[in-house]
Amino acid sequence: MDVLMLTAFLLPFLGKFRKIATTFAFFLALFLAINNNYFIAVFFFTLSLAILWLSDWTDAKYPLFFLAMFDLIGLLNSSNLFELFIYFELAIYASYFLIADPNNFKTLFRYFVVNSIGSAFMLFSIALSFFNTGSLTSISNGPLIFFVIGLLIKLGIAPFQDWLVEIYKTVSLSSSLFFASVLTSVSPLALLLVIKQPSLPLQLFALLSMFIANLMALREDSLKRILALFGASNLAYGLLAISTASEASRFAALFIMLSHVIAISFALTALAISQSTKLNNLKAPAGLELPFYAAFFALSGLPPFHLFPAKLLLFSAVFTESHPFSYLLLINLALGAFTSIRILSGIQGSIKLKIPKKFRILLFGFLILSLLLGLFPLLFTKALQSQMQLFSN
Amino acid sequence: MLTVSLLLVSSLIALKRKNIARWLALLSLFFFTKSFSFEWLPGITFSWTSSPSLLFPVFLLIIASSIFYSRNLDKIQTSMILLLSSGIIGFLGSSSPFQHFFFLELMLFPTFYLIRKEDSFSAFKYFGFMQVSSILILSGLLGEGLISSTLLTLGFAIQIGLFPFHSWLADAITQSPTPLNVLISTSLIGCGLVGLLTYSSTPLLLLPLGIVSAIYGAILATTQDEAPRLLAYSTLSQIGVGVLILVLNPEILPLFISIHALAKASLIFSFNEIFEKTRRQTLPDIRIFSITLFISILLSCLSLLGVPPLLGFFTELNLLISAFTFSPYLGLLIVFTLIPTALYCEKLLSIFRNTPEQKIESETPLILSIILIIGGLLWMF
Repeated sequence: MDVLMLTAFLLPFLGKFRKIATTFAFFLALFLAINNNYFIAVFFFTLSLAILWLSDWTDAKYPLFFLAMFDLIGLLNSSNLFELFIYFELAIYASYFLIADPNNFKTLFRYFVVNSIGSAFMLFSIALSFFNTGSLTSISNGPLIFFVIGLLIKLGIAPFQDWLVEIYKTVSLSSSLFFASVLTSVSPLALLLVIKQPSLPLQLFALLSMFIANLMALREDSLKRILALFGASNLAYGLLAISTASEASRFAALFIMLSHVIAISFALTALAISQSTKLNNLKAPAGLELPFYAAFFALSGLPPFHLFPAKLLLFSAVFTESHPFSYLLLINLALGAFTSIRILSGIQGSIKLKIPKKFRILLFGFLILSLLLGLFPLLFTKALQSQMQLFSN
Repeated sequence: MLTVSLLLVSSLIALKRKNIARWLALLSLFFFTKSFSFEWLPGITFSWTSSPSLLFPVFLLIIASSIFYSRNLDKIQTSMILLLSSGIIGFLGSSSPFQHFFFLELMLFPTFYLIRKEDSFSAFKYFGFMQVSSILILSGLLGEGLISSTLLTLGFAIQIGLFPFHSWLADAITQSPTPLNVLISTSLIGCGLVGLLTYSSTPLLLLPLGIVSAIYGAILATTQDEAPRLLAYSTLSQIGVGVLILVLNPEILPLFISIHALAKASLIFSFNEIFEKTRRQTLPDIRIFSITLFISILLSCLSLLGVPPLLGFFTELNLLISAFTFSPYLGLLIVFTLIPTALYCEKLLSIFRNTPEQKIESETPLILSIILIIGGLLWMF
């Protein structure tokens, strides 16, 4: 860890060697993660390698990307609340520069303001908890609400999703992939570190968030907005499972969040390839119809794709707790299904487009990954189970 | 079960090499007796039994003939047919509720994709109905008690397209390529009926729906001129009969599903053959002569009507006996459904006339119909 920490801070000063040095550091990090049997880190590093490979970033942005990734892994490893907060903030600072562009200054500013509000909430709750209990390792029930609200604002979970939609709309595919799949998906895992007792207000909040996201998605026309709302509802499923806090549901939460990462990246890539923005002019790219349809099927959690086992595990975990709101989950599932019907019915024929080879490979890669994990999810869950102890201590 | 995994593999191969995948799939159908079990998710084990029911050989035969007929489809379509087939076989051999649910859902994507190619509206209708159905089924499986049983019943009723949830059925069937058409009208419906048989403990709810479906479907079928639509409504009517059997005499349901599957597959293949040769689908316009097709259509129709010594006779007889024991009025209603059935069968047979325009030879559908007679004779003794 120390080696990586040092690398993260040295990289920006390496001048024209930055790109090579970052790539090297990346592989070093990947090697260390594999060597330490740290599956979640391997997962995110592999995904971010794909993003790097796809990206059109300048050399200057590479070290920042590495810093953000490294901080997120540090976040998952953090042993107390303060460390968690610092790592999270560092990752967010790196992300400011990743999307910085004179053309979307307004988006950046909005992102900055929203994040500051979120940080204030989080810091306030940590301070309050420290004041109450005198310890930084766990958070007491009252301040927990503030902590979660702060985190949700920073993650773009409904009803705070607007800034995320703006980012999807304005930045390039690689940057939005970074936001959708890495930044807003690793951080909710931090909740696994914080929440260890069932919490009724949080469960209610998660359900509310789900309803808001799904209902808003029903009347949306912009595809990126729908994707953001879909993502928000998936994260809210995860939040519900975390706040149910049984062993099975915590595991289901971890599983669904990592599955969500793949699903949202798959759908974003498909959308970027088709170059459509509105629901009523959505066209499948000729020759790539199969992965295109599959992307939206996967996002709505239907087999043979990978989000299905995750959702099934989550449902059975929540239902075995004989949760009073279990049936509300199913209503949400129905609402989500209607949105996916809307997207699929929006696809009108196919369109001939010139698609770079990189995108093709990425799209098919996601298709195969999604199918593989959908049919044999045990490959994934076995690897994840060994990681659960990270979150249980 | 090796078959399911091999079919899945071959559906992937089909994306690149269509014919190799088709032959691999046909070969894989021979391994259906191998029992197999593995942990799919923590706490959910998938296992297939080694003692298959009567439905297995029949469905395997139908799947084999659909795979054989998929030679005209493109690579992705073939792959989807194979994926669908793996779903059907997986469903039939399943032993746990979540496994059943998984395979039901697995069939959704390929079917949606194949119908979408022909007509998007029908595909979305299908997708919407199936989504509602699967949510009902999932909530039924996760809960317990009377409510969950009712939810399951409703879910599977939508899955098989029972009246009043039948509106997806005719559209989906008429808008799908022949192999998919056969698989929907025989195997998908069969799987739904098996699901109803396994999970529904409130079958009396279904009795009125079954009667209405049987009569309404048969009457609608008599008014149709287009062969695919007529066959679709005939399927609706047979689903109604199937549900009646499920309520009154569940032991013979697998036999009924097999007979209906054989007869319907034989009819659909025959009419596909006729359409390919004459390019006509409106029944009054077709004037052909063909001994093999005549025999196969005649046998299938007679089997649907329940004429001895065909296999259909035994299920019809059993159904009538149990219906009359239940209530004479119900028995009379079921006898009444035979009138429109006879009428539409006559309409199907009217394409063979004295002054034919064309001669057609075809063997495949005949094999299925011959099984109907041989099976009937074997059943008798």
